[in-house]
Amino acid sequence: MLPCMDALRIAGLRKTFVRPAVDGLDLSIAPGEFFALLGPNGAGKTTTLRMVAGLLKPDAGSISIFGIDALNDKIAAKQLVAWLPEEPLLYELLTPLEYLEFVAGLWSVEPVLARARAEEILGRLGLWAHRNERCAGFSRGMRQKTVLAGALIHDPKLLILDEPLTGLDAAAARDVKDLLTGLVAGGASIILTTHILEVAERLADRIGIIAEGRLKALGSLADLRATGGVNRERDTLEDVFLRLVGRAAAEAA
Amino acid sequence: MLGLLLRHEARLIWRGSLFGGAHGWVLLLGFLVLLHGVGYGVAIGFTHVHLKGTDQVLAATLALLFVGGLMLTQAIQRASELLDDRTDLAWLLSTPVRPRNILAVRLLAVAGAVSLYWLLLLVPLANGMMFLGRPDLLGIYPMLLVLALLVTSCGFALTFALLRLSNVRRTRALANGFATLIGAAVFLGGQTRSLLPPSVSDRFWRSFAPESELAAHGVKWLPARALMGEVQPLLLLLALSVAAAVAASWGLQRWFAAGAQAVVAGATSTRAGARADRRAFRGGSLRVLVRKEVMLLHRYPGLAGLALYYTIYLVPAVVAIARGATMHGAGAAGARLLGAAPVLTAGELARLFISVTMMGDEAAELTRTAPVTPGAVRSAKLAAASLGVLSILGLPVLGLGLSLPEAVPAMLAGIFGNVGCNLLLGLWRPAPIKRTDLRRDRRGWGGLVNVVGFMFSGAWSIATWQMLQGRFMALVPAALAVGGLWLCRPRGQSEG
Repeated sequence: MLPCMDALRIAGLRKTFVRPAVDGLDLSIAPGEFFALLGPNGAGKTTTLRMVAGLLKPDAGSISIFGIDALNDKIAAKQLVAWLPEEPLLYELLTPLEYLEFVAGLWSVEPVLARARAEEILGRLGLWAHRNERCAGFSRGMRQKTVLAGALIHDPKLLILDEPLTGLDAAAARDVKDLLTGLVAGGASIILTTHILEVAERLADRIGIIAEGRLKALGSLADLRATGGVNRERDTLEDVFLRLVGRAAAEAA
Repeated sequence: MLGLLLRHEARLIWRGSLFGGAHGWVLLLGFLVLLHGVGYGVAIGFTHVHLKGTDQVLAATLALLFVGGLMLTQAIQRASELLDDRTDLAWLLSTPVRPRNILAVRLLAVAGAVSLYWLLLLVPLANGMMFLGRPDLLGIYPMLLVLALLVTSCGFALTFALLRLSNVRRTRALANGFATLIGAAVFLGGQTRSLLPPSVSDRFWRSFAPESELAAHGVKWLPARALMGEVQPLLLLLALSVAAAVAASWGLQRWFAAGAQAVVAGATSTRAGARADRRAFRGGSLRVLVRKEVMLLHRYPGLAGLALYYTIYLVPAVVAIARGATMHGAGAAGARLLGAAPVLTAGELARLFISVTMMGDEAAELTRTAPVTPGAVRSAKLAAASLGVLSILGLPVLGLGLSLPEAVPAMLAGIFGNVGCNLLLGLWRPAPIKRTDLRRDRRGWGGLVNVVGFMFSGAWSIATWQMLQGRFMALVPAALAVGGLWLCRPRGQSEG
């Protein structure tokens, strides 16, 4: 059992390409928390997640995952993490079973346990009937579910999801949402980005709104409604979002 | 509309090429000046060659068969690659543009691509000859166009006929198989002196020449006469090639649209079968990494055909051995081919396989976010590519080694050296395997990698040949290859 500490702690994170993409970001996520990171296009959400997942090296700052320094002890940190990018990472020439075997092996999951989990997860996601078909012929929803299965097979403690519901139909989106809430109920932590504000409104324990690489607001929906000193109880998340990031920035999205 | 599509295609090709950058025109100009310099030098040697009568027709016919055959190989491969292109093809077919116009533009693009290599090779030579007062080869310009249009039309017709008869996945494999056979026929045709008895070989070559100068005016020799600069045959063949291209665009449009729809619909899925259900998972991160790479290599469309293409180089050497050639006895030169040929083949296969593992890795980020070291990922790719080379060449090399044991040390040294160089080259600078890979080739070397890799293979083959003759000079080409590899290493750290 992991000692009680933040699932994710980011301090002073910076990353510059031509201009600052992430500019001094501070953030922490507790174990078992569902956290949504929102912002207009180009705000720095994906860059932040990619740094947490170990795909980009920050220019400055620190990232710790359950107390592990993710920048200096990458392997140990990655052991606890699952990353789902917006575009599903899938090998078209492999079947879902082969893909899950591969992912389980990468995370050193014991083979017998991995096989049992694969059967359970594929069944839950409605992919068992397609377990021996190559992924090349899969729809967007099936591909997303297959990579989600790959993310779950090694029982991650922190899931990093970039637009996980994009392109899914209502039924597939509901399956994924139920799965994610079940994971959080089981103790996993989730940080996700989404443009579907209703998803964040319904599922997230806390929401962070980022713009121009900086955190503009952080808290529960009630906390966000109260930003600016005026408590607007009837405001939706969309109202809060537009107020905080500015209509012009949102329309540029 | 056709003009718009052509401009669009030309712009994409130009920007995706080595010369598509900010100062690409300067680079292209410099490259052309260099090629013309070399061409002029080669042309000086050709000015002393004066072929007359039927010999001229023979030379022209053989040149056309050689170039046309290799162009046809490329045209078939590129036509089958159209079936891999799911990005802009699907989008174009959803627009009001007629499929025949899309097909016509793709056909012209492929024709341009297959003729480009020969243009770069032959046009400087032709220009050099003209400058030296020998405009014999000016027929090259229009004949390259004729050949390109004809072979591309044939390549498209073959590919879409195969698609009609089977499915997308099998079409790619079969088309590459045909391309391999044609390429092999061209190569082996050039090796008849090594493969056939002299009298049979002579008869074979003479069949490509007219019996007399009068007979050279027959229809059969129109292409040769067009290459030699005769206007009427040239115009006739130009008209024929254009007609073939138009006919292919019009005639194949329905099959093309149906095939593209099948690709977009992802109609490539196959089932692994009930056996996959019963098989237990296997663990170990390095083991699964290697296993994944081997599976992807095994399933990569067209890879078998490409690999077979490279192994054709071994055939003359095997025939020389079968004739009882020895290192120092009769046919020694042919026997020494056995050292060079497997070395050349091993390096080419190694580069092909490692490039497939690199460029074919659709989920590289998965391994980068997994708790495995980058070294383990690289090791798995190198291991899988090496296993691929071993699986193809292991037995033939063993057979050659048993036949000529004195050649084994040199052969193995050459194979290890060449495979090592080409594996590392492919790891650092993977060669694009298909058109869509050119878009992902962010390191910018593109097809130049294959040229560099082939130079390594050539150097190691020469080194092996020198070693088989017991010469210390073998160290020179080997050192050049290693030095060249050092220059190709990547500089700077990658992210993540």
